[in-house]
Amino acid sequence: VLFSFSNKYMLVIDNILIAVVAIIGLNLVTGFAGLISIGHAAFVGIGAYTVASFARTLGDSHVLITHAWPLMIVLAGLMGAVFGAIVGLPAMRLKHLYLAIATLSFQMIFSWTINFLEFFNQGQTIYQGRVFWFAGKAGQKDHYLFWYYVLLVVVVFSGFTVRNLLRTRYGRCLSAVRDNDRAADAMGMHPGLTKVYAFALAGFFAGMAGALHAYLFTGCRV
Amino acid sequence: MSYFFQLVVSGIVVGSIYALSALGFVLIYKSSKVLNIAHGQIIAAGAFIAMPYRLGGHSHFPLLPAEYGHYLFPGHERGADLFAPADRRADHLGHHGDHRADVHPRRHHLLDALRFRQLFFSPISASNPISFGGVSISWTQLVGVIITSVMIGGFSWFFKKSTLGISMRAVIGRPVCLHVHRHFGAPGCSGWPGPPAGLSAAAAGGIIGNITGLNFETLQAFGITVFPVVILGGLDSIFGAVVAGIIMGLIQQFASGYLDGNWGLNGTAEVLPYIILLVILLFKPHGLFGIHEIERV
Repeated sequence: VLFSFSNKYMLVIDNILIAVVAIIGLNLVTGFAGLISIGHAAFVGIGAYTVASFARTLGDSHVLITHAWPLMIVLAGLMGAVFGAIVGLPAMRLKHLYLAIATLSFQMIFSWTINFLEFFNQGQTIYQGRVFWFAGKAGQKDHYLFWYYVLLVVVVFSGFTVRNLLRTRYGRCLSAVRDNDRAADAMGMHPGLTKVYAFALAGFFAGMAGALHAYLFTGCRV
Repeated sequence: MSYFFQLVVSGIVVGSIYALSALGFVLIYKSSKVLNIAHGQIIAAGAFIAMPYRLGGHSHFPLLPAEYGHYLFPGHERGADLFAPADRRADHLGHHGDHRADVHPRRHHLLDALRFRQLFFSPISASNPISFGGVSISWTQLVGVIITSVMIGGFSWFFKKSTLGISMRAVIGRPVCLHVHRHFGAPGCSGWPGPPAGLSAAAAGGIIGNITGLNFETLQAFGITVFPVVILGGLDSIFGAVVAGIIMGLIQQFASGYLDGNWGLNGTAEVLPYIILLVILLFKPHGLFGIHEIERV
């Protein structure tokens, strides 16, 4: 046995790794693209509530949630990316604190919507069933250890993806636009589109983190 | 129709307090390009500092700068005893022994407030609210609006006309200028807009505490709403802060007056300012009165 940690500590480690996935996204938009996003938590929420909305419509232990969970996580990431792109649209016109407060606005609107809509149980807990693996159901005893390994794979995969992305033109255009968007424009990049794309990328990682969070806590609430 | 005017009046009351708190934020940004994200905390501090004075049986309105002086201008007046050595501090407290005596037994009230309990100030005046054509405004609100307008006017005058204000504008954020300035014997100024900004924020907190009572969540929501107000008005415009504050106050009152309760909506006052802010930003990316950055090629 590599780890003999109790569930209590595994939960802490799992939480750290989820934060790592979300922060990889935030680092892309704020670190590399230089766009301050205060509403990043809302993207995490979008991911979690994507899974939750499946649980609400299909039931919390539908086969899609319990067996096709890798698909759900990617789907939640894509949903985060879509919302990220929408929130990123003001970035084409806004800068600095104006943009930061625009992202804060999105966060406020998001949490109000979740608290308001009956579909999302008005912010009360929406449960998710436990997932199945090749070896059967990931039970209560192995729950945190199981998700630790999943998270480890996701973190390593995301880390390498971002690392490689930054060596391509699609990654380098992020820091080019951050440093001088006029110059980037002159070099043939599209600054506005790049900013929207940065938000979408950040939203993707945040959405995945949200779905993982929902699975780890077998449910989500505001 | 009187309902409409009632909403307008309360919108202006709330809005003017937003304006006052946004004013502090704008003062700091305008002069030093520093974003004071902790501005809401100063507002809350103002409300909590005002409380013991109001609970202590003092009848005066707790918005006199002297009351905040010890917080905002450390080194002056009673603020000194916070930083003084323990023996001097005890000595200093002795002079104010009678003053503190009636605050001390009520200290448990202070802790209660920190435990998220709603806590009300005693009303300014026992008389009934002023009513005019079906529109009523309480004395607390009226006094709050008057003090707010006086402070906004005062700050505008101070920074535009007074010698000290002009010197501050001249040297703020420019340390070298500050030294030159002092060398030539201009009025002494710190070159840091913190004190007036903190004063306006704390006063706003004091007023809002008097109107709504002390509640941690109310104060927090109030502090966060100052950000959309500042952005809506444009980051570096005092006039914008005033206009945007009143717009936000009106939006919130109309939202809770007309939208809440219909179509199953509730709590729209929390979210509508942000939606309208986003819409306005799409057309005016620098707020209503913000300075457009000119990018030179």
